[in-house]
Amino acid sequence: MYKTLCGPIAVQVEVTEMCNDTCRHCYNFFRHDNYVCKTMSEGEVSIVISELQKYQVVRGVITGGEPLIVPDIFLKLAEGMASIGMRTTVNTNLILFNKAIGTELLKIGTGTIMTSLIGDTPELHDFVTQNPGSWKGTVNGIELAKSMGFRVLVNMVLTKWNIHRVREVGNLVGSLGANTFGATRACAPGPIAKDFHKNLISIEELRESLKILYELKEKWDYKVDIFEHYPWCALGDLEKYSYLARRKCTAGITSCTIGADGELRPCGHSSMRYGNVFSEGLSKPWMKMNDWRKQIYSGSCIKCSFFNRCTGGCPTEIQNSLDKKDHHCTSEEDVISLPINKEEIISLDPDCIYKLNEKIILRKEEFGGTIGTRNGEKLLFVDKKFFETLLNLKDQKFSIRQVSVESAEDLDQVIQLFSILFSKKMITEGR
Amino acid sequence: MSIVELNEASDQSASETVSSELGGCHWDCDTESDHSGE
Repeated sequence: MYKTLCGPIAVQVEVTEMCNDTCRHCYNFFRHDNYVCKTMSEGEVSIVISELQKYQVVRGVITGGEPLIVPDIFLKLAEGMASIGMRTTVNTNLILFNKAIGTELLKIGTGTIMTSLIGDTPELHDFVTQNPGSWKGTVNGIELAKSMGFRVLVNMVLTKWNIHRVREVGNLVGSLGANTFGATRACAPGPIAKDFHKNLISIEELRESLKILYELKEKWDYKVDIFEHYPWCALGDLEKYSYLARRKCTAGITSCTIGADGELRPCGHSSMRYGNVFSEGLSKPWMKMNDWRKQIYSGSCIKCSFFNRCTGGCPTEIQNSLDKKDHHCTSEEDVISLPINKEEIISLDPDCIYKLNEKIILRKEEFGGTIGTRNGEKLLFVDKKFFETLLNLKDQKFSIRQVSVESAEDLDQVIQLFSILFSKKMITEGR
Repeated sequence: MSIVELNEASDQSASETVSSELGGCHWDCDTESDHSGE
């Protein structure tokens, strides 16, 4: 059971449901059958921005569908999210990317793009996207975005159709100068689950893809990643794959998805709706997601001794699978090592002068507060007394000893807490 | 005065929990990079 935050910390906003590709592996529930796709209006974008600001949401992803199909609305959303200090990235297939859009995005301050490259050849990529010419469009888009200075993350969605080409796609991505290459399994969400299962990769293929990713990392000057949470038993060697193991299922806990129709969903995979942000605001539907915070969709994973740290497999897939299990969950015996925690905490001098980071976010919660850096990269959840203490320290210079005296808290305890804040750049030296 | 666990069942150290709490799906949750220029 997770504590309930007053709102999400990160959101994905599906600005439109329309897409110029029709990927065979697409998890968008609205991308199948004869669904009529929706797009947010300008007024609806304004409501979303206002709600994100009200709850101090720090990170956002603009996604779809394909956001660049509606460039004006997309840019309005990106500008709005940037104007309230959110760190925003864009998920796009880049087919419609051009210099004008790129220039606007950079002006706004949105400099990271995530895209998908399914194959190293037009034949393979276009077969999966079912859009002739899409490979060329995406590759050209990556090249243009890189030439303009964007940070570009390229993801290869793995299915039986392309699992044999991970190395080749990784090499192409390296030659295009991408910053990150991800090779991520396709999951089988609800509407397409029944006939899609046969195209999912096996656990052996998944583990081989990880091995190849780490070989590619040595060869190319890029990071490697997976863009979904993998169960720990699938990763196996968590010491080796510590970086990949940082991804958990955060649906309904710290993150959620706002659909183009305004419906709040726990994540992009899920078709479960909890209320409408356009008509009810963000808080009301968010508060209804208690089923996700209780982790009731985690199936047999809850019996695993690693469950609290791993979070289990993909709950949406578990819900839709026949055996109520993520198809890459194996057994806790497959976890052969644990992740390395690289965070180094140096004990601070209690008599030095410090100040809060100017960009710190102090968000009040029922249990106390969420402390975060403005870009949302570092977070802490604290009790009421710690939260009030930090609120009082805003715009002040202080020593840890002074905080200890004024709060009547044990000095060693305060040193420990403020050393953690310092390691997360939430406080800095005040001189 | 203390750091609290978001996961009430968790027995790990707070600093470890929160360093990974933001990692979700389909987005860049690279907490190791410096994106301050964005």
